[in-house]
Amino acid sequence: MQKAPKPQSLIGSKLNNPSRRGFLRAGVIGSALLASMSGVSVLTGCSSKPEPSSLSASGGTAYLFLNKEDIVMVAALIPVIVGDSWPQSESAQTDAIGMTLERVDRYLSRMGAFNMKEIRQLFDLLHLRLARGLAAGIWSDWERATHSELDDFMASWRHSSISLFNNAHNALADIIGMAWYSNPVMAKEIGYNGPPDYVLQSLPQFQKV
Amino acid sequence: MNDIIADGLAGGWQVSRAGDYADNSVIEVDVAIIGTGAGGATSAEILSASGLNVLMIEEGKFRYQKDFKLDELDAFSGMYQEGTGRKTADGAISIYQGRTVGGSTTVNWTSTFRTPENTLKHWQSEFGLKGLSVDDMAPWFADREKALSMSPWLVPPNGNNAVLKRGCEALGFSAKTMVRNVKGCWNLGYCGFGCPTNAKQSMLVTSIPSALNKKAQLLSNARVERFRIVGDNVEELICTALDEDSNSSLSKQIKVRAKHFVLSAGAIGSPGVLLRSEAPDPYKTLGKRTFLHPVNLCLATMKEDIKGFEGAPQSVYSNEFLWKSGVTGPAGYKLEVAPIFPGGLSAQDARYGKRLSTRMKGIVNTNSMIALMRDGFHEESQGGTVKLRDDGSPVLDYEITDYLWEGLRRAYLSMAEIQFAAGAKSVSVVHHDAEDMQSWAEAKRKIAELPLAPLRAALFSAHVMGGCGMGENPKESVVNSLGEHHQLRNLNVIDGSCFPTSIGANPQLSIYGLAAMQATQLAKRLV
Repeated sequence: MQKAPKPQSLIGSKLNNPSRRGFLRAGVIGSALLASMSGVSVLTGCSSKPEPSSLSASGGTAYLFLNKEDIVMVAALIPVIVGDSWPQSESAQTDAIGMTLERVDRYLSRMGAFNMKEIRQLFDLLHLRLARGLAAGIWSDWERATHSELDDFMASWRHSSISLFNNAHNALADIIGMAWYSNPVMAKEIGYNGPPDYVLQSLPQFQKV
Repeated sequence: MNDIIADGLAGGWQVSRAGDYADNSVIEVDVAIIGTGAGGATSAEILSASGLNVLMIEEGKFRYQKDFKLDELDAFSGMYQEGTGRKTADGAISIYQGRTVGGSTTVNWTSTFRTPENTLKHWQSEFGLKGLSVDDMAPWFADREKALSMSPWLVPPNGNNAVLKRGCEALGFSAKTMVRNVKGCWNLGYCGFGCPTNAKQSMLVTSIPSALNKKAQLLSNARVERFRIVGDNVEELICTALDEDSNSSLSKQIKVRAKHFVLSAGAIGSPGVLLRSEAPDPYKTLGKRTFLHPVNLCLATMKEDIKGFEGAPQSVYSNEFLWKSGVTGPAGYKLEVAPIFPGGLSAQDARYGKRLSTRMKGIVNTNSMIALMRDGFHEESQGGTVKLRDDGSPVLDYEITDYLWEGLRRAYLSMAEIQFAAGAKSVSVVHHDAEDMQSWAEAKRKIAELPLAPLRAALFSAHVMGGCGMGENPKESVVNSLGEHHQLRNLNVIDGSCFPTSIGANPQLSIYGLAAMQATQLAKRLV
């Protein structure tokens, strides 16, 4: 946590100005503020399109929300978010990343236009090296950031006095945690086996037509 | 097993998606109802039975038994407002509302209560409501209880509910058995995912089929943008067609012309439509006094298996602290439990890393207790305000006052005390800064010191109420006791947004009963 530069230095002046409060409270993440201070709103127009299929685990399903840079970032954050649920073997890790990215994408793509716009702004900001370094303390590329740097980043946003960063932290942890643990494969690991067999066998919606 | 909906569709129900229509199509009916939840569907059933030509309009998708495959992510992202991403404007309270045919009734947990007598009396004395006394309302509640198979749940509570019962009994607190709206329930626990067996008597399998059998039409995947208002008359409404998944808009508009309009888009949704329509609001009451029953949460690690994902999600409640300090005194709260599924548990207070995985590995032994704050009965609890974002979507700005924080702190204490009395090994307040507590003595000390602030305490709401409040004085309300808009002659608002305060109980039967009364009066007026 010590290493992370204080985000206050970056936008403190705006936050201390009460007239900005309405702006800050604009939405779920409030990343309109992030966008305005970093010029991301300009860049949003040219951020890359959702990634077609190359990294999708479910065999060619196109991503609806995540683009190439998002995929790298989310993949880097997954092991930090899920703690001891992160599997040991490399092949299990690869499978887990693929499944989780696909589920993150599905979750995000159904959050409605307003939330999707905010998350797009947040993600785009975190792809900009300077903004990422100042706001998140991650100066390297996402894929080169160490586990402890990523952990420090989550901790600094969790404990930040700036609600914008708390909200962004909550969104990242919520989205990745939900995508991971709602996955029947991961849920089994912790003792949730899903609906009992007799339900799957007797209800029409589970029968193959 | 018969699927009432598949059978109805095969039998010629008039069901369509907005995308099926050509751009600029016009639909003409006697009554257009916006929303198919508790208020809209009950109204549709009653109005269509009286011979009126009714159109039900729903933003969500028409999902039913064939789609209810018990997948948590699919249910959460597909059947809730903003894919469960809805929050208050500052992000502090997560809001769960249905967005599917049947509205929240399709995904609720079946908990059934009549509007408490204290609440009805308070409405009469404070808001001058007419025809809504305890005696006036009793037959309407009885009617809906019968229609929707509401009866006490006689099956033993699941492990999660048993903790609440056992803890309350050990401490001498009240703990009672819930009434549920189910018929032939399999006691599986998936109410919040869309009932897989059609046992839950939600609007999806009761009032909506009943209306469709009376020649009502259902238009899904249609977002109502606004009314076109001339003087005191709603001329028409304008919808945008949404894609098959009800996710993004198609570039198609549909107009609906009707003699009368019923707005049942739920609190947040209904004020949102009126705000977008620039409806007359001479006293600036629209969207104000929106309530949430803000919920806080304590998780306990029990010695025994709890399996909070199995069995009726809510079957026990405690009103011990609901009215303890009087109707208008310090905040009262109702105690219940929340079902525990892996995705939902992981997302609750946005933990990450080892703290998250440790919690998740204990899921089988976890009890999840919740307190629902009764908001809107005190001068320091005036609720929030529904506003429009830049893109026209509605958002609730809700400030948690010191009055509510004080109640939330007492609620943490009550829950921890009950959990330890029920044999908890440890208790964890769901809060960013809280550590696990090993004894009631430790909990008392730590909860007293816990900093309570937005985005530190994890807060939730599944009960959004108000924003188009009822009252006989137009200066203090949006509609009258019949749900008739004070300024627009051919518009009723019939849903939870009419409530002038929160209910103080899970609100589905309050909405059904009120809607049955209001729609019956409306039918008399229109036929």
